[in-house]
Amino acid sequence: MVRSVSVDLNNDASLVIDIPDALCERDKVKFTIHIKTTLSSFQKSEFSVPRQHEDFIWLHDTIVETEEYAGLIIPPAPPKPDFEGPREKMHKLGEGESSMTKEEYAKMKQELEAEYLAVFKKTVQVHEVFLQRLSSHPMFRKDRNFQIFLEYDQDLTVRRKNAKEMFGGFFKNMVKSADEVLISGVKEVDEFFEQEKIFLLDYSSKIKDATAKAEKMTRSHKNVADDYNHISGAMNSIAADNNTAFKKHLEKCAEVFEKLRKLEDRVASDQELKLTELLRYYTRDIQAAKDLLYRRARALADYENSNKTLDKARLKGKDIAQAEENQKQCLRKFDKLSESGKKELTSFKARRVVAFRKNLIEMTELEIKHAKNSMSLLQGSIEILNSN
Amino acid sequence: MNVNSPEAACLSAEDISPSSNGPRDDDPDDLFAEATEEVSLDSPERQPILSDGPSPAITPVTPVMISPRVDVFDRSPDQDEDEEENRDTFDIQISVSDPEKVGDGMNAYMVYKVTTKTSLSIFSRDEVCVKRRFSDFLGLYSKLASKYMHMGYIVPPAPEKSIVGMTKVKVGKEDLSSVEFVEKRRSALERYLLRTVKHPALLKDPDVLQFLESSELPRAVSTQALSGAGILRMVNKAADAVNKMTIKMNESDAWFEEKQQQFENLDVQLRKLHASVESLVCHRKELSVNTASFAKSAAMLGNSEDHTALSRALSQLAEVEEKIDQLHQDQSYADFYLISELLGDYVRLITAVKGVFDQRMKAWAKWQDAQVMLQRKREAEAKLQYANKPDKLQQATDEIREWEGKVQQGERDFEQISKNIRREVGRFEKDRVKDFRVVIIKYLESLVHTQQQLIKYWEAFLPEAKAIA
Repeated sequence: MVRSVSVDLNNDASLVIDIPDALCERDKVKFTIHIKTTLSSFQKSEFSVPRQHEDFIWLHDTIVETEEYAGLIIPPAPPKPDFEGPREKMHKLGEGESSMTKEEYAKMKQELEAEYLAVFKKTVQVHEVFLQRLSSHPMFRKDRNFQIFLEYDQDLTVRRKNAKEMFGGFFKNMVKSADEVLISGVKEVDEFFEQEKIFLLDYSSKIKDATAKAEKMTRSHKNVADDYNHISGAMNSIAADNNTAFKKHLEKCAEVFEKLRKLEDRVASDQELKLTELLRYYTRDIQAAKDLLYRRARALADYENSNKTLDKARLKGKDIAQAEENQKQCLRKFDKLSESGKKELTSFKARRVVAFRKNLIEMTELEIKHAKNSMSLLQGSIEILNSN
Repeated sequence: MNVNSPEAACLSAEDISPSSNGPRDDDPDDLFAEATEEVSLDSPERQPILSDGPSPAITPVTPVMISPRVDVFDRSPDQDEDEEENRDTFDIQISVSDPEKVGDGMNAYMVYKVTTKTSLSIFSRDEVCVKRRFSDFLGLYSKLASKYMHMGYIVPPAPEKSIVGMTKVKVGKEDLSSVEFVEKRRSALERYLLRTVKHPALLKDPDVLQFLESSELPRAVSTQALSGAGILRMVNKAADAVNKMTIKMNESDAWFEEKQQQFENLDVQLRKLHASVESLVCHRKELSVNTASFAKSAAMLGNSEDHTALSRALSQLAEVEEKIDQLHQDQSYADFYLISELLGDYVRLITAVKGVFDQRMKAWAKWQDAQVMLQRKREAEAKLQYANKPDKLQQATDEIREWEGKVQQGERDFEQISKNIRREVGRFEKDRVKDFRVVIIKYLESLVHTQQQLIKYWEAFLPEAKAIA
């Protein structure tokens, strides 16, 4: 499986995770998680376990809920696998089977399989990266629930239900998407965080926009590929009615367009995998970084409030000790978040740069490869058609 | 715009694949095969300029130029055959250029420069420029259609009128869509003229010559009904009337039945292909727009990025994508002018071909009607034999003779149009194959060029991506 978005996440041989396989059954996707580890905390050194998308979400949510991790950038949850496109096509295929020729049916089936594969690659990649972010992080890798996720050899559904019951009520309180007003309103004394705040707020909107534009661009490529498909079919119809050498000529042309379609499809799906998915992922990751800033801003607000409370208590002469303790705790929490936040944001930048570099290089190499293939296809065809 | 209109495609003389015509073209190398069969010296209405030979082919015949200064109208029929074979030196170039707006507001119109370069002697000069407006082209087509269509000639239709397009131009909208509209029309007018002069009979028609050469042209009035579609609509209405006749035409010639069916099928298939290509043009334009939009967004992202090397790479990515969007736009012009417009022309041509088949049915119906009339006159005469009215009898006998003549004429006309159609269809099919082969190669070459540029741009970007540190 191609691991693109994260490149350095499996450097550490003490815990290596990948998703070599996935099965699509009706509405559910079952991922096969493969773990190799030298850590003593695990019972076996190499094993596999099947997990569903919902299990990933459960794991993500429990991590978000964990107070201890407030100063860390929580790896964004993988989006739900979206097989709607291929499923629709499969439906059409089933319905229209009787009205299609054998060739048309075979061709449509082939297209369908290619689409499935593309969606597969995307969803496996994003689920894999999520786990790898956790396994490569010094704190997350030790998380109890993470270990359960990896090792528990039975269905996690029961556990998931229990977790919901436990956290249900508090859920909304803890998990709040970064409140931009709060973040930007905070009076920042730390230059580092001031810069980060400005950067993240701006970058966040830019990368969202770039993602949307990349999606439109990919969509257009797919439309062009579709058109090549129809052109090929129309040429074949005309060829069927012709005789003599012209028929062969037309059939050859139809074949060229069919091949062009395949190439254009590959260009579209590779662009999506390397560029659009990259942008999508980092849009989510930027959001996670913003969430960290938010939590820190909240902690700062709490600390400032605790100062006010302490002042009031001193004025009134009541509950001073409590107020002092509260203030100490708030300060501690704030400092902790600031310290770990700084580390996280710095490594976030490094991670981002590495990922962009890798994906841009791979995308460019694929573009070149596909263009060269197209060219040799076209030039070969021109030769054949000319010699006829 | 770096795309050539397909004029060269239509003009280049190339080897023809074995013909797929009707039974008469057994030997494709014998240029005279059809010619010798077609000559019918005693047919009075046969125009002095019938086309006979097949389209230009690479043949062993030494090209002989048409003798200089021969007046078209004085030629006797059999001389024409010899001159026809020499069309492998089809030496005429026509270009439509320099659109100019004349006047203002709703009365404004576009004027185009029509330049003819030729060494053919039927023209008075070897290079001549005239100014023509759109209605002039329509006027030319309507004249040619009225002269030749009923004889079974496939007269190339003029481009369509477009109220929306022209209104924009008239009210002075200088935007891209008006510019594109004028260019689309200019190109279509050029193709129309080239197709018209490619037809051996039409090339020598005095109206065509006048159109190309004379500096003043009488204004073509009432062109409302005379656009290509307008005429064909009229023709097809007549055909509908014919089809509704209770007497179904006895098709004794399987060739016509087969061909008619073929053209029906081809009509449907070509329209489908045309629709797919139009969709491609549209989506390619969208791709260009979306790529440009992404380029801008990537540039903004690059500006926002605080890591210097990555920021630079993103800016460069934006530049690459900008170049690529231009590439897609150029390709969409190629999609359009090379393939889409050509297919559109052929869809209209097929309508003209179908019109010609219907003309034949009309001719058959006329012949049948004459026979019926003759029969009636004979019966009337027989009755009068017993009525003892000598003057009426004489009249009846005269009328019989008149209708006998008409029956003969009807039969001759029907046979003539059948011959013409066979020949025209053969020529049409050869041209169609040739056009398609040439255009498809040109188009694939345009795609090659696009891929070459893509390789160039991405190979230039690769080191930039690798330089991110």
